Amino acid sequence: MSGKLRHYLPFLLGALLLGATLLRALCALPPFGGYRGAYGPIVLNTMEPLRHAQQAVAAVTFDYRGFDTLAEEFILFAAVAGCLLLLRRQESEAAHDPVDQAGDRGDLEPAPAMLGLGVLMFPFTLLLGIYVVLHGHLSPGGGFQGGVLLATAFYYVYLSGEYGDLLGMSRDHAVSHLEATGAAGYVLVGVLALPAGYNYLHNLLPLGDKGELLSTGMLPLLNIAVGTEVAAAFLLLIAAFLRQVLVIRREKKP
Amino acid sequence: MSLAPFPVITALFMAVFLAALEQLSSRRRILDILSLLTALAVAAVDFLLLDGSLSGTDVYWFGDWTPMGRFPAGIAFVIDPASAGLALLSALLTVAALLFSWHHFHAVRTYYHTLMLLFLASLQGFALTGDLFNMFVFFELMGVAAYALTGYKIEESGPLEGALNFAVMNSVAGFMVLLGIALLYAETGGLNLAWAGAVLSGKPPGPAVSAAFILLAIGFLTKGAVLPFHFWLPDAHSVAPTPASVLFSGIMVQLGLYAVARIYWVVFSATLDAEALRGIFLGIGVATALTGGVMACLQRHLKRLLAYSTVSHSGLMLAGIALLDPRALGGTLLYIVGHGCVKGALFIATGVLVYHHRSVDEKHLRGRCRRLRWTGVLFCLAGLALSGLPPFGTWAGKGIIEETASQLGYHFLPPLLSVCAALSAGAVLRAAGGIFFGLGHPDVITSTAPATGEEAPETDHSRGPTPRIMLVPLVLLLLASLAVGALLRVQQVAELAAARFVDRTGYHALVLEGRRTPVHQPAPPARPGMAPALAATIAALAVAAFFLAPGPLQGRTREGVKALLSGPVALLRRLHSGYIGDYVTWFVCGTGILMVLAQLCF
Repeated sequence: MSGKLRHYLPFLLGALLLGATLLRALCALPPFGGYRGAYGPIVLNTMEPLRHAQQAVAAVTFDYRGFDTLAEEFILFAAVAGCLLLLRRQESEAAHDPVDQAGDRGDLEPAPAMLGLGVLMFPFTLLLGIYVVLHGHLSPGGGFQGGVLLATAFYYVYLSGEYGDLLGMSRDHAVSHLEATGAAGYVLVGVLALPAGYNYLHNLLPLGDKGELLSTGMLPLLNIAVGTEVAAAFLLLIAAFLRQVLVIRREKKP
Repeated sequence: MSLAPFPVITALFMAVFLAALEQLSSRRRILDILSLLTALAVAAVDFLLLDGSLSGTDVYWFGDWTPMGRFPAGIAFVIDPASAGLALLSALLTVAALLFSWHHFHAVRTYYHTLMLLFLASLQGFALTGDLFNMFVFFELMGVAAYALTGYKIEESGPLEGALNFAVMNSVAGFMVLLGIALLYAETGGLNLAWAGAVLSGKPPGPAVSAAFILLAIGFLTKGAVLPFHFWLPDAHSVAPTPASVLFSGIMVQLGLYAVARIYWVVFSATLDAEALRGIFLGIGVATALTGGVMACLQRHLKRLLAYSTVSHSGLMLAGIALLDPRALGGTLLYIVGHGCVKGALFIATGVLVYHHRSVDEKHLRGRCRRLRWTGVLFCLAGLALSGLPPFGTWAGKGIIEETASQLGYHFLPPLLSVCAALSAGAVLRAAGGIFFGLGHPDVITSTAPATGEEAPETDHSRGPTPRIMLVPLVLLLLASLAVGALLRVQQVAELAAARFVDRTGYHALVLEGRRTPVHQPAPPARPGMAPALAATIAALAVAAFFLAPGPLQGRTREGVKALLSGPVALLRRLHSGYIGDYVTWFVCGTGILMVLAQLCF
């Protein structure tokens, strides 16, 4: 036991020092609730007159600091490209369609409860995802959250059906094109302002009335772009993971 | 119309566009051409930005969110000569890397080209931004693209382990950066560097402020591979495909150091105790430079050797920044450019060896590459340049740093830095002597384990002469490094960049109020001396001769020398264990110690 303790001693000492100093730093911060920054008031006072926005989070994410969000969208894009790269089929591996190993079992049907739930949940989740994406500038949510919901809808297909069902609905090329379109869409919406002589990501589109679906200028467009990208990215991911588990087999040496 | 956003958005858009070319048959040539054109376009834009920034720093507000009553609610790119110059360097290195991979590199679908362009975009954004959180976002994008590129060759276990170590250490570093941002935001209420600096101006440093600085510094110094946060670098750089290694060692590591310098000068320089900081960073820098140099001598895996050399030079650059002096900073910027080109050339030369012999093992390659005369000559030249041979860019940069150190009273620093540069350059020259000329004894005191991880070919058609297109970037990079050192104009630009870099109040006034203050023109540059640089080169040759020539390592005293060195060598080897748990332990220890030092000293 003491040997083990000695093994962890450097880490424990370091963590102790780090924890103690961090605690000291955190205690020196302004007290909880005593907000005195300038960011909040400025955003709250300007987002309505300048952008007809009613939701500060969306306004900050997609307008005031929209450039951060562009890079964040591409972090996801890069992460998915990286995952697909690392999960590719190696030359020493072979791809076989997943088949039931026990051939005499007959066709396996998913339980009626699972099937029913899937049939029920798929359109509902899809609709919820679309709603969350489209209302990102009005209510909590937005492209990232709605995109994940959209992808979740397709996970239900796999859960209540077969791998093949999901494969049919998520053809790799179509989905990866969709992903590219979403990512490129964000870049291009920002470019719209350049010919008019404004800076990149300037909110040029008509602002509409506060609280309307078509308002706050480019925010709905950006949400749709992000939603498309995120939904397609997570579909590509689940497809890649399932392929790794179900389809790719280590080739047996002859 | 300002060109400021184009480096980032062009690279991002083209990355996506290339990914969409997936279904195209015979897409290989198109991918090569388009990615190369993109990198060239980005380089051209960077050059124009650099040229424009010489007469005055440019501030570009995304979405036209200019500061409202001095408070910046939006994100700004601040394009001064330093940021534009580093962006230009990263674009040029990308061009070189893409030239190397032209046609012969095994590109898996479109992922290689897409990830390289995403990486380029992140380097551009990271260099140009003037916003702390934006910096963090590009730090993450850089990381994600780099992890994937590191693990590119999934057939081997080495690349996957290297990528995992890289990802874990840099993610931990990312947490530190985020923690630092949170602390700084709580103190200042803003994420813009200039705003945070203006709020902190003249305030006494509380525990939160000093902790914020140290956490930010640790996060970016992990990217900068500084002791004790450097362990991931050799694991990752040695297994990544050659074009990625060029970018990792040439610019990514240095951008970590650049971020620390930028954050210090713009935000914290009026708050923290400069003497204490100088002591801490100088200590870390020198320790890093020494450790990296010694470890480089102990390697027989060529890319690992180069990776440790990067660690060593990173320490040298940190020492240059740590002098907290504009002239030394100018020298450091010059050194970053000169070193980036030379290190890129060395990795490309190693890539040529892999192309021919599918090996990066110094012992295995010994004497087998005699027919690669051009590669050999260029490799040796790059090795000499690494030691600071005049008139390469490394000479000018290191010379300026060393002369400033002497003027500031750090007389121990110049010889120490020269020794460090000589150690890793000597290791490179030793490898070159063995590989291209068959010199030396096959059993040097390097690692006993053979270097593996390169059996999987990066390229095809390895018979016949080296394709010219592989030698082109090698020559171009060496020429670039030569130009950086030889042209007085480059040194002028570097010193102007440094003068602008440390002009804290000017930066604040420009970003927050749009008010230009007259730029203080630095004194006409004095060229650094040749003699110390030549001494360092001779020392490097001596290190190489120690391993290769008949001497203590060849004759009867060989076993004695080995026994003498075995103790420290074994200790160093054990420290660099390759276990991620050990790395995290050293990271936490280093962080804890630095945090305590910061609380006590600042």
